[in-house]
Amino acid sequence: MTEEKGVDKSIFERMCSIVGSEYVTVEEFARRAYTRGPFYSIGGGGRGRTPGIVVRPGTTEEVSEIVKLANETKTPIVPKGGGGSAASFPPPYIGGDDNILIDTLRMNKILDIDKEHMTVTAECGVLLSQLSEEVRKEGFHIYTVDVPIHMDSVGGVLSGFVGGGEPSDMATCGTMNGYLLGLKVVLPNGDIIQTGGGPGTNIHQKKFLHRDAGAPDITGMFIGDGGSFGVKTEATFTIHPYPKVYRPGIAEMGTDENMWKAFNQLVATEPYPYTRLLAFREPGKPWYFVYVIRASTKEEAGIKKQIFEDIVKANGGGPAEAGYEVAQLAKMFSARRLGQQALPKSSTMTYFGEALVPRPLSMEYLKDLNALLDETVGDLDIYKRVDFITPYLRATTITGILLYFGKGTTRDEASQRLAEKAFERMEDLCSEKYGGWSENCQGKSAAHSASFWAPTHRDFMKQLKKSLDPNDIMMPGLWRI
Amino acid sequence: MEMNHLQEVKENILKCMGCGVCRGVWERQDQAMCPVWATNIGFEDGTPRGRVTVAQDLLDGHLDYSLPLAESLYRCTDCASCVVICDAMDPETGKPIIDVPSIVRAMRMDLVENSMVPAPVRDYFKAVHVNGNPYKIPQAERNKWTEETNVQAYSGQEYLLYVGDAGSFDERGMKMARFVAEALEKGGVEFGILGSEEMSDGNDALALGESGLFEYLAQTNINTFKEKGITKVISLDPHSFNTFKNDYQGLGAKFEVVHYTQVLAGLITSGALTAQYGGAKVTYHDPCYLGRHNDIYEVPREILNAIPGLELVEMKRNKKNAFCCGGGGGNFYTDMLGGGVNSANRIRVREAAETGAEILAVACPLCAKMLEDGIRDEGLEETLAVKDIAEIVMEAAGKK
Repeated sequence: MTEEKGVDKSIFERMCSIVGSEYVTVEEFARRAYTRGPFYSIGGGGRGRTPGIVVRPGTTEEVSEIVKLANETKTPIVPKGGGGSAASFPPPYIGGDDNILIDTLRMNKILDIDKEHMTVTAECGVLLSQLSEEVRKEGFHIYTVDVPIHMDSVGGVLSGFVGGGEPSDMATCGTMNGYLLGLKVVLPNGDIIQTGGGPGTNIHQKKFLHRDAGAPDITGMFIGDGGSFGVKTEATFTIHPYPKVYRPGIAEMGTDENMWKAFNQLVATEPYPYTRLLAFREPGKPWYFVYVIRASTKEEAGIKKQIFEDIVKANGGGPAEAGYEVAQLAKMFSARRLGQQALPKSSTMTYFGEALVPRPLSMEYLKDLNALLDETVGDLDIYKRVDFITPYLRATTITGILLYFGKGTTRDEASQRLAEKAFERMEDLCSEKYGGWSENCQGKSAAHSASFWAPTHRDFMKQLKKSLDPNDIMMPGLWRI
Repeated sequence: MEMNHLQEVKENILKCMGCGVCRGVWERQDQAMCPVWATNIGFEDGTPRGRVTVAQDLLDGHLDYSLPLAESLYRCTDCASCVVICDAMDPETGKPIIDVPSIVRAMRMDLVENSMVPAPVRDYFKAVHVNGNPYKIPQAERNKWTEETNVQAYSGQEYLLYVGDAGSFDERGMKMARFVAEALEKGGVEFGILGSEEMSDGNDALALGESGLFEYLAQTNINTFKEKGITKVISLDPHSFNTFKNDYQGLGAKFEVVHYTQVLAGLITSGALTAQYGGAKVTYHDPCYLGRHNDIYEVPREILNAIPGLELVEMKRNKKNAFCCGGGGGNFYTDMLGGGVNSANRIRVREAAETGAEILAVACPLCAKMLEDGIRDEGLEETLAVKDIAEIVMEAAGKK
């Protein structure tokens, strides 16, 4: 228990009675610690607003009690998971001294791994790495975002886009949202609902086996909601037999033209001859593919690898003679770590600037993005910059630039302002010219996305939010609508 | 409030990008993990990333030191797991780019200078200052552990056996000291002890931020060593070994220090000590101040591997990835970490039990005590026993 300070004393005391005094704090240093996500050092600016109180519930029922109390006192709520979002979620305009921050990481139990139905149910404070590991022990695989799975929680990922991570299996499997079967959610009024079939939605069904049979996909409504429609507390996913064969590789692709032709042919091949695919290059150097083939048998992996290599060869590429730098870059994209760990010799700070853009326009976007960064942060001490493109299924790519700032760049205000400006312009460029979506490190992506919504979409969202949350306590103002 | 020490590590603080990987991954049981994070008690400020965030906020003037903040900072066990996990190394210096333990130590030093330490920490400082040890036992009793042994006072022998506080006053530590002394004697090593002239080594005082107390203790020990002509020291305790090796040298110390396992390994290699065990499976727990802080991982294993009849099996978290027992950074004495069922020592004991080993080998008297407590709390007394390396060696020597 920590000393009560900046919030109404009765709220503090009632919070203590709900979750236990050891799981409530109003200490400023503890509250401020929750305002930070990755990439803070530069460009992030990304410190969120300091909540008035932090509470760590251990059960869905406790969350419900907290939300009811918040309604009663008209106190806004910000739910928070692992704090691994590259978008520094929640954004800095959400929250504040009178807010309740719900740290969900105490709800960290795997509730059920059903081998027969091939499902896993977990509390939403479970980190993706834990989820992945536990199902793997039972011989199964779950598609998650790959990096940084050790930081992102189930609830955080489902509430955001990918929760802040470099796509990997996403290239062919989409996000883990597609494998979500059902959710337990505490609604903004404190009610607890179950979505996705199964007990709570179907009086005879015991398992969560579908989301949209005979009814709207209510589960899907909570995906990407930023926590504004409720607090997710449990989730059920489909799991898959673990693909035992894992074949990584690197191919040298040379020019823009060669790489891009091969990239598009690979994306257009059915079934995909890869599980992960990522193209990258440093300015003035060749393009490389780093790829992973997952398969159930060696034969399947061999066939896929042959198809992959044929396409590479037909477009002027071949096996890479990877030196240290290329190997390190490949490691960066394949390891479950962030750039700084993969390139320790480079710099002190790293930035991922990435965006969802239509696949056919990706190279053009990359060219524009490079020009933009030259113009805005080109004078900063940049040790290394790396362009990258990875497919997100077939229609879209995730395209961006990694910037490794040199040791001369510290968290000075001038550098930060320049970087912030660059990221804002990148976001505008992406949305306005390409109709894409940029993962802005300043955590402003939700509002930025909403500013491009069609009027009817905006009106519907307003009505939906108002009907679910008449007191506007859950992430108020997230969409700025 | 004064933040002089924090200012000194400012560049280190500013380089952290806040990814949070330093917390470690609970389910990656082959990787290091922050023992504070593992308890699942406390808030984000208790994680390595949180501590750096707090440090930034202190530097930026958003926060000031307070007693509750001190209580949070003193939960850190100085185990350096976060450094291993982060793995961002400066190629020029070979040192971590972001050294959270150094940042925590700087904040603790500021706390001490601002007279803002929690009661258990204050009590530790006071006990050491008044008594020369944290056990509040008269110095005259420092050699009580030698009763019924042949251990002599130092009088020009080749080595000083520096026993340390736990070895001198803690029952478990005293038992370990006796085994080490027996093993050294059996191996023909000439050594003596300082007895009541030995002062606390100061490692934990420094880790807790009391640099003044540390300097006093260090200088006292250094002067004693000089007066007696001591040039070679065998350390029982990795905490002593760490500070002798890394902190005393800057204060004018001129002596060599080795950990007792290094001496025993040499004796076994040379044939001066021979041993054979009756057959047992053993797993080894790396002490943080021997392992991560000083890169000594193989020597204790070489001893265990050299004893016929012992089968060494590794815990999933081993060597640089070993999980802290919870007793580092002064926490052995202050018990600020807490953790209940997920306290560090209980987690570590569970990891040891998973290996199927009957013996949990240790090389540190503090680890020995922490892990024995963990075994008792986990109800594993019937299947797992903590034994220090010297005890194992002596048992094996007896069975030869």
